[in-house]
Amino acid sequence: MGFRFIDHTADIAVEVSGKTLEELFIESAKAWRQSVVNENVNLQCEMQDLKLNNEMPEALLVNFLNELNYLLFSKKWLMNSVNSINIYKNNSQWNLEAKINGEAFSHFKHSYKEEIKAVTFHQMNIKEIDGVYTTRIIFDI
Amino acid sequence: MEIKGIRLNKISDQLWEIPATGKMNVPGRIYISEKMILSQLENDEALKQVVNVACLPGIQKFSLAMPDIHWGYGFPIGGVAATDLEDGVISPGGVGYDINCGVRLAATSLNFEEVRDKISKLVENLFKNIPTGVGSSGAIKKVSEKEMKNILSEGSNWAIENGFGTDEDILFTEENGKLKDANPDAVRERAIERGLDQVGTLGSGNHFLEVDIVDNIYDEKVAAVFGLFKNQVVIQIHTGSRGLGYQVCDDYLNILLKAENKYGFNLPDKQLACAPIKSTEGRDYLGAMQSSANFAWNNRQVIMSLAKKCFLQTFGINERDLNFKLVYDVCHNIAKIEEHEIDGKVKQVCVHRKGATRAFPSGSKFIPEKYKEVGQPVLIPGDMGRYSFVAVGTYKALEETFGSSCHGAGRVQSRHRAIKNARGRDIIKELTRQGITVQAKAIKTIAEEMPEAYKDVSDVVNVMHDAGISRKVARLKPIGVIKG
Repeated sequence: MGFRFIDHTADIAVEVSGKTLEELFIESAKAWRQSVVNENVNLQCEMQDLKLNNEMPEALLVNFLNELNYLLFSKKWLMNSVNSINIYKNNSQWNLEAKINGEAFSHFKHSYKEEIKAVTFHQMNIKEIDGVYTTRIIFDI
Repeated sequence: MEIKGIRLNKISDQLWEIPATGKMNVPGRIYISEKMILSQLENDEALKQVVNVACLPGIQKFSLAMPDIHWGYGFPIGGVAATDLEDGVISPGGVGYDINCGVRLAATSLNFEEVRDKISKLVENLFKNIPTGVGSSGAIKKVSEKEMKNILSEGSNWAIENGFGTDEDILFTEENGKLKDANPDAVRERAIERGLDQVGTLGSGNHFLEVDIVDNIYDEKVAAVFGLFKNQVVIQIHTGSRGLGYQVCDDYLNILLKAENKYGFNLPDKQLACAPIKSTEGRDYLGAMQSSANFAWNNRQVIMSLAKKCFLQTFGINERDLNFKLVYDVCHNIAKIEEHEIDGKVKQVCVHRKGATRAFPSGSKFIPEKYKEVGQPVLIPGDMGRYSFVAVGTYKALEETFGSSCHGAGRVQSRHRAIKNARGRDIIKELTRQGITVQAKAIKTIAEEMPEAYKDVSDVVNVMHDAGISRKVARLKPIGVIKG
């Protein structure tokens, strides 16, 4: 389970897999981080809570990754890792509750790799086959 | 011809049609040469996207694509579609994330020979004064939220009022640098926050500022009207609405995805999320998108003013001798309410141009007085090693493409492949040997953006020229480039 980058003419494409929806989201967050900054994860961290909901799991994943993108490019706060994450369906809504670790982005410590304009819905399709969740994600850069 | 199961009927050497089948409301039409079809369209899903766009409610005449067509999100890049204002839809997928990404061309009175020795110094100064690169910020002081609202409603006028340019610049900007129906209140807080420190910044990716010389003139009369002459030093600025526009697109994709069920659309692609233009959701997106377009015009205006200062300082000349003038500023990613003749009647439509340039002809009341005799400049940048083109709009464009033409070269190699191919080479040195000084924030960007990573833009421009949609006027050759 994990992620691998695949060739894309103009942007960044990644294929992600996980044994649970939660793992799929965690691996997606790792792929996002590896796309935007050069440095490895630091241990020094602050924690933030995230609560999101959407009618479709794909839209929830897009919302989740765009939230990380917003935190970095607007709030200058870089996610390092996902501490805990819980995804559940309530009536027609998919809900996400997560605690994420991160730190203030600093030019002394970090350097940007790419500016992701946004995480797209393009070719995103979360599938579960034999207990493995997969999807492709494309970052518009 | 059939490509990936999609039938293409030849209309002429430059035009191919996909007949309307299934859920398509109109046929698809692609301006492209046979050679380009085989090299460009066999390896991606752009044709399928032309078909998908043809399914949009209220689409008029054709789902169009320009010769720089390639795979985009929702619409193909190079896609043009007009939807009925009364019962049609508006889609962020027809505009893109970088709302009003566009190009401006400014000219000087300088001849290349006069300043040849100072170009590298000029590039150094430009690089120092215009922030480039990922998350670039701080070109000018961070604007307040109140000022931001003013930028969103007033566009380039904000720059002029704050000393970044002249009233004449406004006259030579598409829409005079301001869409008057912009609604800053429809721009959500997050988008505003993302743009506060990005006024006057280039950004990363394919955005650039380029110093060029006019190296070839195809139409002396039109070139003279545009104020262009051989060996003249000019600059091109290519950027858009930065993080603010990206956030607006993302915010409204979410809102419009939810509207899809409400309005009973069954769209083939989530990135085509849309709403009736006259619905609350549609009107809000339109107002926020127009505000972002205003931000982008203001951004290019501020950058141009910063660049002009660099010219004056580096060359040590006065304003009169420099004679720095905006030739024109065009949008490449936008949706605009325009009037077009459809089946013999003039109708108001929403023209989505996603990677396409407006190309209005002579006589149009929407172009600067000075260009009324010849038509509007169409600015088509190429790659940083070869050339860019200035063309002029025609009546045929108005008749066939809702007054639209192509916008650029498009990538031929992925970024990853370009980096691989650049390994062991010094691209900056290679360009220097060709007489092009380059400065960039990241070496990686230079590799990703090297000339061979792009198609030859002349192939694209020639299709539009031969089809009579936009005619070639001049070719520009780069001599200095700054990038992210």
